Amino acid sequence: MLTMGKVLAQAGSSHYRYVTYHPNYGPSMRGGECECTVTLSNKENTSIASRNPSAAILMGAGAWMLHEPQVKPGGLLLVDSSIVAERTMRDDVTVHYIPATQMALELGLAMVSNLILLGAYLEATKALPLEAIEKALKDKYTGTKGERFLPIDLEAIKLGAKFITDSQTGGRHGT
Amino acid sequence: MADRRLLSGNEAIGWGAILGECKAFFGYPITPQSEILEFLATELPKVGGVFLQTEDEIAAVSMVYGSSMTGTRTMSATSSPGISLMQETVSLMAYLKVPSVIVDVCRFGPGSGMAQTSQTDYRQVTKGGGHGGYRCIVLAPSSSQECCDLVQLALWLADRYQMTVYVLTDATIGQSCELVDLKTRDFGALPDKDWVIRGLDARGGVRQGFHQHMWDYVGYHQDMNEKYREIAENEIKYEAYCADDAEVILVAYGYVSRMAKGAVDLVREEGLKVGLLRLITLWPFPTNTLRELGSRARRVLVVEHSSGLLVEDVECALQGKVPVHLLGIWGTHRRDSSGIIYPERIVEEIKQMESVA
Repeated sequence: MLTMGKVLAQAGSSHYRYVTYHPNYGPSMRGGECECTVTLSNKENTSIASRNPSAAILMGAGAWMLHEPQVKPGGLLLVDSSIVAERTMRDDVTVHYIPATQMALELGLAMVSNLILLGAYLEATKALPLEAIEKALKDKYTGTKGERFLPIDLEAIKLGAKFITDSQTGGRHGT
Repeated sequence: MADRRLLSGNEAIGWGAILGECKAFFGYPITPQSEILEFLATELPKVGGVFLQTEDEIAAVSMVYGSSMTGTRTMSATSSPGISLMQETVSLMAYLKVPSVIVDVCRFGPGSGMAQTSQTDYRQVTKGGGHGGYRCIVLAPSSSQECCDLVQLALWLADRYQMTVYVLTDATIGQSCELVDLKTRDFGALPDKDWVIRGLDARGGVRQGFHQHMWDYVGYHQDMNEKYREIAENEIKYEAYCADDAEVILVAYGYVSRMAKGAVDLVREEGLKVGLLRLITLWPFPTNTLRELGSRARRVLVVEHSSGLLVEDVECALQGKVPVHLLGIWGTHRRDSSGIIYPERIVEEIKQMESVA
């Protein structure tokens, strides 16, 4: 969750004038639930974070309970439906149920479920071109021990984006 | 083009130290400030500085004292319980007029506390912290940019007034990332450090007493009061946001002041005349500015992530002439230590306060 946010913020840095990445984890960094907020804007981010974001990516039951009701009307919910069984009762938000963990396992690495959701987010919002995220990932991991995962990272981003385009053209839907 | 990077508040503090020509850093890791050590461990030696991870915070601040006595710009950083451990030496440095900069990335207290955000150290850093009735300047950044800039200012102020300057942040400011223009700040000329210890050889074998007030405590306190007055006249810093026509004034610092700024934007869209006094120096406190803003307002709302510490100084400044409300730690979005005070909660408080008015 935190890596996804940081990569999004880093990629956003070359496209937006104001970028804020706000992580909230404490001891959960060693395992457990954590959350982060990313704000990409060309207007000054007076606030560090908002309780009512325009989009939320939810990867756990706790996160669902806490944040599903808080997304702005007209906003976007992206849910890892491999983990979260809930379905929204709201009719004022767009929801995509994406079996991200299942899809990541099919790719061979459960860890990239976050990037599948990030790819979906970018396709659904067009907040940034996919290439910007690819560049941020390459900048972050080239020359590190994470470098060997780069090909699968990039594949995951594309897979997430494709999930959204397919769903818009009647392809694979979340279950 | 300016060097602009996405930096956490902690990394920006490290950059501020480098740009502010800090040449020695002694510290001990503690969440949520460890990234400052991590950064300076790598970067400070590259610019000819000394970085040392000590065995604890008491050793760290003692080395700050020793290093600073040689005239070297020196810093330490820790989080709340570490600040408590340092107090004996901070008090000693206050007596001996030794410059130092100490960063407190506040965690949740009291006791060993929790590693997440809070503002429970306000009273400790603004009211001395250790024994002996001394004061320290306290700067409170509210963004990564300000972390970088205010650490440079802190290093300058410490040399200018020969005292400890705290930079008080919190886990939210320390760990959130924002874009920072890495710029060296120039605050003007500084007096010569004619008080530094140079060793017997440099003084032809004559021993040097480095304290002008040895045993003269009355003289010491008179001199310091004069200095505190000078600081209060010259060094107060704040941001008044949408405050000119404000009927309700919010008062906040640190991460909460950013949330309050967001809240002002939200209520202004609905036509409510709300403004913010964002404190940048916590001591010296902008008493006169607050009094003036308060005299034009119907009420004042203090927002702080604690049980109510800043509110005491606000009440003192306003002298009972304006009603003062407090949105404290109970305003966080969850009851565990991950809770933070969001702009929307502040908006709710403003509306509730106004509806019962």
